[in-house]
Amino acid sequence: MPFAGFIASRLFKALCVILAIAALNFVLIRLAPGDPASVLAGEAGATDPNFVLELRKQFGLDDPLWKQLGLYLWKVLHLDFGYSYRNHVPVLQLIAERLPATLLLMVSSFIVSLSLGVLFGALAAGVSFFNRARWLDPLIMTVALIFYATPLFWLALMMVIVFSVQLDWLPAFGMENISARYTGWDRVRDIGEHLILPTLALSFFFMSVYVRLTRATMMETMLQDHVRTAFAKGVTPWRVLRRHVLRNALLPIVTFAGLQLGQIAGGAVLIETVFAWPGIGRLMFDALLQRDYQLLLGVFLVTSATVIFFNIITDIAYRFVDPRIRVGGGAK
Amino acid sequence: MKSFWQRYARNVGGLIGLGILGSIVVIALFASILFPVSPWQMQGAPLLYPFEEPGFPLGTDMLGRDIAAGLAYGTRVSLFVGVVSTAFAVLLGIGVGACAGYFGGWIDDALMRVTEFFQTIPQLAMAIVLVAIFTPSLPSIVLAIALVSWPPVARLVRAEVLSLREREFVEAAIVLGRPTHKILLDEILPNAMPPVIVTASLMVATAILTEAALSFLGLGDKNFMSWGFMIGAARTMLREAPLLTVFPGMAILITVLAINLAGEALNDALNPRLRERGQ
Amino acid sequence: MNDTPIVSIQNLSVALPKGGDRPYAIENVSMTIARGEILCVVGESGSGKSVAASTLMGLLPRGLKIASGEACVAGENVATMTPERLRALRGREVAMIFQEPLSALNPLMRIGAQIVELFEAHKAYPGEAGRRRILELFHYVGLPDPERLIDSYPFQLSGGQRQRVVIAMALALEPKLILADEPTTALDVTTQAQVLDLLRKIRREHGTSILFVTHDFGVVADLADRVVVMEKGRLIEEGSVDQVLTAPREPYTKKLIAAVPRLKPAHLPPPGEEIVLSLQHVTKTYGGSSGWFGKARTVKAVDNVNFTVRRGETLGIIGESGSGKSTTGRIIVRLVEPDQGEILFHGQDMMQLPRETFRAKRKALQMIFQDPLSSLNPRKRIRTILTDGPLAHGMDRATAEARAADLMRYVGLGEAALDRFPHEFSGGQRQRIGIARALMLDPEVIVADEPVSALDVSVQAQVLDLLNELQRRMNLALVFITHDLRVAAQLCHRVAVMHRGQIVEYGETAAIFADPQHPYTRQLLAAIPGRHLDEISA
Repeated sequence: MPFAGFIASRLFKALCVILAIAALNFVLIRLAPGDPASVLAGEAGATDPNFVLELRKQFGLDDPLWKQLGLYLWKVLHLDFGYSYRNHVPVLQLIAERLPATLLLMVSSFIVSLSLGVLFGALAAGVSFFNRARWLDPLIMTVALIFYATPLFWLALMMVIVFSVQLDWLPAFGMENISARYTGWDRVRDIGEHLILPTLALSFFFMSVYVRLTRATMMETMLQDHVRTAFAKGVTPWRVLRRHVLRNALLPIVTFAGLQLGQIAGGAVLIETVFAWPGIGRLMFDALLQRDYQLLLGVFLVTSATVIFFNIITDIAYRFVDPRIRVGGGAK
Repeated sequence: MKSFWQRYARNVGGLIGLGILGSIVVIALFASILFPVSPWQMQGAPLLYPFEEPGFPLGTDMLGRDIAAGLAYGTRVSLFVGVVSTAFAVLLGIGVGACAGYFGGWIDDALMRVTEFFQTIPQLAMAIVLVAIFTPSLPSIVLAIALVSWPPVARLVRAEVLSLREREFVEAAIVLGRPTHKILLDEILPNAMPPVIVTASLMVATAILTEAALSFLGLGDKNFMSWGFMIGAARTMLREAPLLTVFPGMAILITVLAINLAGEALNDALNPRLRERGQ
Repeated sequence: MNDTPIVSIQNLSVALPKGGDRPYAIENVSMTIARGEILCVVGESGSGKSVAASTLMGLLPRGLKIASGEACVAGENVATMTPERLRALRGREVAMIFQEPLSALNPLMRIGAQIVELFEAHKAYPGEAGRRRILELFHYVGLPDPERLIDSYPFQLSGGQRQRVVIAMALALEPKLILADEPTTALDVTTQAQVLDLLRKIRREHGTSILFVTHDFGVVADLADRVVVMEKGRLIEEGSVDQVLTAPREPYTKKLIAAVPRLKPAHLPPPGEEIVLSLQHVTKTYGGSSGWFGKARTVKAVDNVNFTVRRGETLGIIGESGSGKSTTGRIIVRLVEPDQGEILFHGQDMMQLPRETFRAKRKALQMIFQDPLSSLNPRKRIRTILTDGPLAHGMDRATAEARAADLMRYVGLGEAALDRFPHEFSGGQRQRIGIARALMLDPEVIVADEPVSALDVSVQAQVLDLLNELQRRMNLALVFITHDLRVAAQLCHRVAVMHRGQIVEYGETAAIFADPQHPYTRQLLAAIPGRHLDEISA
């Protein structure tokens, strides 16, 4: 498939998925106990009859269902996610303000967890491969298992206790010290300091996932025939590990990394809540507290869209790593 | 061929995990006998340290509630949600995966689109939305977790069924003239089960983590004391009384760790060939 | 010329991991290979025939360890070499060709780069010289369009082409010794003949010694100077190829050679007159839709196939991989639905029957499968495996079980086998169970898809005898699908030769073997390894 065609089909598919999520939102509101309008208005808005009336009109709640759905999807397509009665601003505006912080957190966690995960996973597999320092393997795997079993939000709280409360090394809350009015590099450094704890807290779980995956895939690859061929050529073990084992193991890791993005996005909700990180995850928590369902559903939709966007990027990356797709069909 | 238990017992971690898990189940079953007073009841002075006063081995929280009682009752919610939601998810996943894998064609296409759709959506975010909209309660939590966690089972079962369908003993059953439902239920699915059982055991752990996260965010069932709720409530006291956060978190960690250890041993015991290849 | 033997293995024992069914993979084995000599190591599965080759390369599978003895290449003991010396040896002085051409190359690396890696490891042919050398090698091993291949990935090549790449790689630094571990087993017979030619040419033109591991006495007859026969980890016979093939000393060797089916078609009792099964204009096309943006590609797997089978007759369908022979077999029992054509059973077109009605007819059309490992459900006892079919057709349990017990005795396994699980049996025994299962329904037609190709040659002979006897006794119409012309010669009244989905030749076995008309049939017959074997043992 040519690249342009691939991108086109992928984007079309993404659009379908987003519309399907919007339709799911629509169904959820209808299934929720109570009148849709008061559900949408949330706890605060329901007390204001004018607002409820306006909602009925806005969503055409007196029209037939299919028409309501059409209207809702049409609005979503135009990025109209409704109005947050609590905050007195359109939902889109709230999300747009908060999205960059979440993207920063997600991307930094993704990079940290993937790179450290592959590094330690490769190390664990490598010591078996070279039959040296074998104790490292069970050590790494045990640590990975413990992080895998630790609740994200609790780990975050523990890090706050240790690194902020006890040691006072790093700030525990917020994204920057606004009262200090930093500019330029000072501001970057300030945000960087605030970023460390949330990123690490979010990364450890996924790092352990990548450690386990990398080790398992590499162990599997080591047993493949082409690795034996490489040895039969007189290639050094180090080179065999890098060029034949690690490189071939990276493919399934890339695929899996793409699938994990949704989970990182979910984890971000918890981490942002703990660290008061001003992203859309924190926004989701606020929406929960305020029972602001339009905002909640808007955040849900945008979070999903973000994940889909990153999925497309990993798909493209995969095309560049795997020659079987890049070069195309088996020729004979 | 050694028996299942002999192979399981070779894994020390698995035995430890099983031991811990057994104790947790016992605590859950006998929580109301061990701690006859409700964990919501204010019983002592607030913020007692562990062993500061007899009767409160782990101390009390900011409202004077017994931490140990809270932990004991919390096991019930965690195990219940973990097991029941996994059971639903596995049933749904097997149904979808088996149909997709066996019938193929447009049925497979349609079912896999749905599966992919559910897998793309951030699971926790969707669980939050579901529980929030259907109002937090044990049934809505169980349902939400089941709804977000079935896709991996479906994919796994589909892959197994696809590969088993090509196996000659299944073709033999077709040629013998066995009816389709018998082929699927009697020939294919039993052979697809070992990896599903392993996945299911690990899903219980994930479900427990998800339940804890939901209660931490205030989406727990207010009628039952749960570990996530305890952490969420203690958050505001992080500086003054960090132990209030530490204990329930440790409880989650130990439970999930035990399930993972048991799950890995189960994997080794059920798929002996994989283990030998991996050495 | 140097006259130390290139290989000298003395009293070599290689230990298996503890807890296996025997302590040693090979025990007290000695052999030598002179310069420029081809030595074939022959044995059945589990004989340890590959172990010596792996030892010489220092590439024993995990868990295997040299227990005693020495394995010398050009006078130097591999067991005591430093890792550096061993690496310098591999690829430069000793090269290896593996069995599976499909998995022997790294799927993510260009073909050329994989050979360049060999050059880099030994600091030979730097830069442009490397590319020239690779082109020269590709040309030498007969690969088409070397300029294009050098930048291709393995998945773009056929199995035979990949094996040539592996051979080119083995040749690249002109090693003194090539170790070949069943290098043609995964290949079609015509490709095998070409690869064997190539190996002979390499020996002739470069004086390379070759250690060739195989299970196939036909290949041995065509290739070897000397032969070593292995059984259960022991070397039991050694000698020149003529001596071992014409006058084997050991009974085991005699048995192995006798088990190789003769090429001369056997005299079979004449079949009946009544036509039981007839295929007319059967066509099956694979491929088609491949998404919105991709191009559709179709392959005619079966292309207008016509044949008939009479009661008591065995029809052989012969072909190489991809010829459509298996698809044809599957169409008969409707595991594959044809696009066009009629399948007449006693004159009635099976394709016109609705699925449920056809299910009742299935009793009469049974199948025996290729892989004895995967053709029995691992979770079921033999009793259930045998009775499932009859129960589905309404037989009562007692009758079904009595019949199962009868058939178990009949195929030589005894009634006690009914309570055991498939993994408790050997490959040949499992294949007998597969045959019994097909017979449980008292069929009129049996399709046997390569039923002996996964079995060792001695077991293969027994299973073929059983099939032959059954067919006669039950007056079955047997469709026997095989790639092995030797097997076909012994079993089939008539054969249909398939090539790229079409039957290119169809007729009496003896007539076709004596005077093939189609060029492809001639090519197939010429490629049979060990025609020589029939002459010397005749």
